Amino acid sequence: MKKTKQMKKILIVEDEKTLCLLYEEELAKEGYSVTTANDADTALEILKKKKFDLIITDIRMPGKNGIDLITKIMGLRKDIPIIINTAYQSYKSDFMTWAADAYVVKSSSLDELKSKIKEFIKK
Amino acid sequence: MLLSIISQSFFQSFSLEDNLLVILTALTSGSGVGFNRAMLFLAEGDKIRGEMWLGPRTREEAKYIWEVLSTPGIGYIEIIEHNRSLVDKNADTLSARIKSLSYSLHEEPLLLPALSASKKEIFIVRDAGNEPLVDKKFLETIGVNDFLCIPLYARDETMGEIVLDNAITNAPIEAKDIKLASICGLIAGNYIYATSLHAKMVEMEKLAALGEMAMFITHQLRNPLVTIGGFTDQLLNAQVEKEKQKRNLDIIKEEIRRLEKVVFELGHLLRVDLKKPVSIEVQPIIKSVLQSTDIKIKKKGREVRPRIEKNLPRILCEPTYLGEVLRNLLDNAFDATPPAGKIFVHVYRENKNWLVISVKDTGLGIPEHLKEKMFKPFFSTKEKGIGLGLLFVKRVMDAYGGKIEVESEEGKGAKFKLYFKCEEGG
Amino acid sequence: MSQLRKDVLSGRWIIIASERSKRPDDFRPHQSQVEKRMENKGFCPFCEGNESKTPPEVFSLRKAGTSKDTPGWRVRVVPNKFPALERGTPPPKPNKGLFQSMPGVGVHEVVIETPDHEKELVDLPLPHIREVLFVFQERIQNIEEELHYQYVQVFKNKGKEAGASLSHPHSQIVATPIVPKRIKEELYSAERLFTRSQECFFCRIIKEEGENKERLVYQNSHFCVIAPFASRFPFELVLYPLRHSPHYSSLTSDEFKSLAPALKTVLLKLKSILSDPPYNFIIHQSPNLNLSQKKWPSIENSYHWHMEITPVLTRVAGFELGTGFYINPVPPEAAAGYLRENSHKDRK
Repeated sequence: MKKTKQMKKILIVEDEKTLCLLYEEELAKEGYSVTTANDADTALEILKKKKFDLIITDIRMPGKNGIDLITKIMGLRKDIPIIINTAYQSYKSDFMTWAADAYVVKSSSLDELKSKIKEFIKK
Repeated sequence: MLLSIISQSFFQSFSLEDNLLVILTALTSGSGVGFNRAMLFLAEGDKIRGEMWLGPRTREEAKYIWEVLSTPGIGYIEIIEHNRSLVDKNADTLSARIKSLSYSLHEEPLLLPALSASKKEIFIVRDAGNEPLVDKKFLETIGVNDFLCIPLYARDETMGEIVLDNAITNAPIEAKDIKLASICGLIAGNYIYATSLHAKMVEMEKLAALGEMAMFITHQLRNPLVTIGGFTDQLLNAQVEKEKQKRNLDIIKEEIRRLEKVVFELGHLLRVDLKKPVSIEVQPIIKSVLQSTDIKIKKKGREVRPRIEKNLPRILCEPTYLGEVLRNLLDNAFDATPPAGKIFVHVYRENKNWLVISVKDTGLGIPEHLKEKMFKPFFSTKEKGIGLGLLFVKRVMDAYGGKIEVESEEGKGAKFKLYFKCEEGG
Repeated sequence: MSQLRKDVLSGRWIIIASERSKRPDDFRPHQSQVEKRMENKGFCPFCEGNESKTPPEVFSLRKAGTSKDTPGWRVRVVPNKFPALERGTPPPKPNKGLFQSMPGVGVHEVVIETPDHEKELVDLPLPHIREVLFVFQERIQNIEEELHYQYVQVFKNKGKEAGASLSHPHSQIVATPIVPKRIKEELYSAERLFTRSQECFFCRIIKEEGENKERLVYQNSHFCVIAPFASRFPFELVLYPLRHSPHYSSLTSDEFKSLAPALKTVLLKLKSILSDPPYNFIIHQSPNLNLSQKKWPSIENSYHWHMEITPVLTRVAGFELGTGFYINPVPPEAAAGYLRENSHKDRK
């Protein structure tokens, strides 16, 4: 039986709901299956149950911040690629961000984010 | 001993006056060291103005002071306290005599004292009566023939000047005295400069340090920009169904409105200090605010219960700000109160000095740990809140000499009390 | 007695306020040990085994037979993974006028000092410390081959309060196409002082402090460590090579053999008497000697590389007033005294 090519699954951790909507729609167009979480704890809960091929996370969020989140994720499973997607340049000076594979600074065009997704998503 | 006075008491507070007093004290507090009297001028614009003059007025007073000061057990703090009281007293202190003095730093002919400050050079004057470089009126004020002018400056900016003499003992001013004075001058100059920087820093801290400001702008602006950019791109690209078109445009519109709000509130915040207060009657302003918000509040099922006392005094404030502040608090109360809840507005005179506007809601109340944080920038419990509202309220109250108090218990609602200073004679 | 002291090189005035003299006990910092252990429960990109999380290494000292970007290394250098500046050729000189700008161009590398997350630089055995110091030299030389990097800075932040974003021992190397302002001022100053006296200012200081001994903390055959006369901060220290040399690249292997114990001893003393404080050190050296001749004609003679070591003591801070005017409550003579008399106990 021909196995259907599975859609790649992306988990987006972002507290701004309109942004979540935008990402869901745009990434669905690229053929990805998108799940969103609005904070770190929710994301961790979801990760316990589902597998993902890529995680995209903001840094400044209510509750735990994105850097703590990726440190925690790395502590559990090192193999999921992670992209940091944030409005701030300044977190680049925190070497803990190296737990991620890419650091994208939010801008009005999604091109950079899309190209990093292509580059790092689990093959 | 001298520099230890400075190091011990200096920088205990950032009050400019206190610390300048420390320096003058250091220069005059011993009978073997330093000088009898020290006069301080501060630069203001392109002039120097008489600010403080420290020293005994007569020989008897000098003797008394020095005896007191050489009593064992008297430390530097006491000396400074003593001097502060000399400087504070109203009647005919030395300081009073120079407060009206001011000299231009640029107008020719430049004479002493201004000459020293302007050129940033030390001048030692002997036989002032025959010295053409000395301003005659100044000579009358200082009343001695020998004195020393020490300019105060930092970087390349003139900060002021200190003029020293030995009017009581008539001791000659020697090289070691000049050296001492010049070191003190150096410290004082730098210190005045630093205080002005500090004042600026405090101002900026009110807007939450530059870094946070930048972060705020980045955050508040970037997210809406991503949203607008992204949804606009969608519209520009392929065939988009009408429904989606409308939805996108709605979202874009909302984000733009949000950006406008940020820009507006920010600008507002920055401008608070610039508007001069006037004497106003609170009643009509409060009534008008209540009227305009009434519909909105009633529509959503809450009720406002106003109680405005009679014979309220006038206050000094900027009228549009008063309206905004009240609107701000009403908005918050509105958001906090459940439907069918009540908002109590009470306006009364608390005592001779204060008029109080209190806004009380019957909402969830404010937990203790948030009471401080509330007034900090960018703090908001609302989803689309920007967090500048309460900061604005606080700035207005601070700017016009008032204060704000919050009473609240978790679960029992919150009461915000705005205290406005009553106009004198009101 | 309080004193006003002038730091001749920088022109700064410092007040040393001895009336409020503080003892080392007054400087107990926060719990840095606890921090480290807690952090380890998560993840650290510098640790052995996580090489895939760093960019490809540009240099390493490793066990024979192991390959790049795999475990087996003792010291490892990687470029910054998310740089704000990019390595590459700089554009031509910036435009004149109000809107001068130069897009970010530079080098930023991280030297991971040991694969062991729990250790600190000061805990490493002397040969290992020697290797780290040698790696600094290696990288400086490599970077300066590209002539448009005028200045290379090597520095270390240890502890959160000192600016370190994680606790795994590391240092950083930053190279810029221009000489930073503060360094420029120091260079000009050194040149002026040399012109006046025809003697390297630093050599004079080393000689005088060596004779005077009041502020001398440590000395061996090639290096000395002193608490500067006009210290801005409590327990501020400077490490000087005894042999005049403007640039770190001139260090010989004999000198490395002395540099390691000098650095280790001094860091151990600080650790011991100030209860493991956060600290910074930074190497001040001349600009790229391949370039310096035209811009800094006397630099070979007037400048002397050195390392500034400053503990970060938050409880009684040196007071900076924004004018470069400091109050330091611990006279350097006292600091030197405490540091000298303390014979460090080798921990771990």
